[in-house]
Amino acid sequence: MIIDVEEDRLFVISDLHLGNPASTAAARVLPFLDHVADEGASLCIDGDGFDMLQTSFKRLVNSGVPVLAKLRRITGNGGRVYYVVGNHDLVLEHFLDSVLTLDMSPFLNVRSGDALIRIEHGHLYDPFFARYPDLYELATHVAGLVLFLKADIYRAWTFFADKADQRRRARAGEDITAASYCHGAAEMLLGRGFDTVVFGHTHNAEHVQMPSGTYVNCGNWLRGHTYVEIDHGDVALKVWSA
Amino acid sequence: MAEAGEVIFRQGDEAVDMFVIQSGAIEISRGVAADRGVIATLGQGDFFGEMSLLESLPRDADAIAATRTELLVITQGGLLIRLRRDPTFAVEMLHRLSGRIRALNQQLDEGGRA
Repeated sequence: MIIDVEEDRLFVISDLHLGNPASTAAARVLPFLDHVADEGASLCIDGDGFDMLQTSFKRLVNSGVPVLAKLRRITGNGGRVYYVVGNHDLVLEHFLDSVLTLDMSPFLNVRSGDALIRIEHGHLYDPFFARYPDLYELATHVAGLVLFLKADIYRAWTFFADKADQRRRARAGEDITAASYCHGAAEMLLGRGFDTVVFGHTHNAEHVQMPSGTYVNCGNWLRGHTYVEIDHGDVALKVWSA
Repeated sequence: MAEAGEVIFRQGDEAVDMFVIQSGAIEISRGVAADRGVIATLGQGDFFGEMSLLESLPRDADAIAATRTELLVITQGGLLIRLRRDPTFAVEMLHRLSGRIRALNQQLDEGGRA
């Protein structure tokens, strides 16, 4: 298990959900991966890159194979590809490990410049996943069936999820650590000596200054196109616009 | 917060806390007088003192701040709560302990060949 790595330049993306009917990442992410390869940088897919809970084999192959080719291009140009396992791709661990030259990991501690950065998918801190993992998986499967009937339902789901998130943040007020479970978890990890914590999972791209450091969420590529760029310890949340 | 040169604990001290280095560096050393030697220098994010916490036995080495160092102290009860809230901490502890066993095995092999 590789958890401690050193990288000067590392791009981080998460939640592509390749194969999911609601995901539009398959075509849009390819130029981004070319960019990473051209830069000679490394890439970390911070969980839920491939979706095994809400997909069909045909969809997964159609959207996954071109991405796998691009990942090979990154490693061919001298970069490394790290794959941090999320909750939608747990069962793919051995498959990905065997077909690609990539490093599978449950989380990464990245030393870049003078900074120590934790990269983790973040689902372990999701109260629903932590308390009721079986129910969570069942609910995800059911939601997947609905997405097969009407993929646009994802847009409605994000609308209501955003509203709930806004209410939670309003209740938290000035206490940024109480604004979401991710903020609380990030602050706990920052207290262990990390300068920056990078999560995915929530699909909400954000860059937040916490009391003990910085919390960044990669967002998603289902409909979004955000990524995190780590350059000699500097961590920036960016929007891919090519 | 520990200043450079400050002793965090000495070999043989009775204690049951472990420490996580939030910033700075700690030197771990063992031995007596002329035989004393630094066996590791630990930095940001590393931890030490876990053997006493896990086994309730006296400290096995000295720990001295090499620079101004911020430490997070974890007690026995605190460890359980941390593992519940921060499950990756257990994986990191096992990872580091496994690395130390591997290093010791290598030293034994080299000692056997000498």
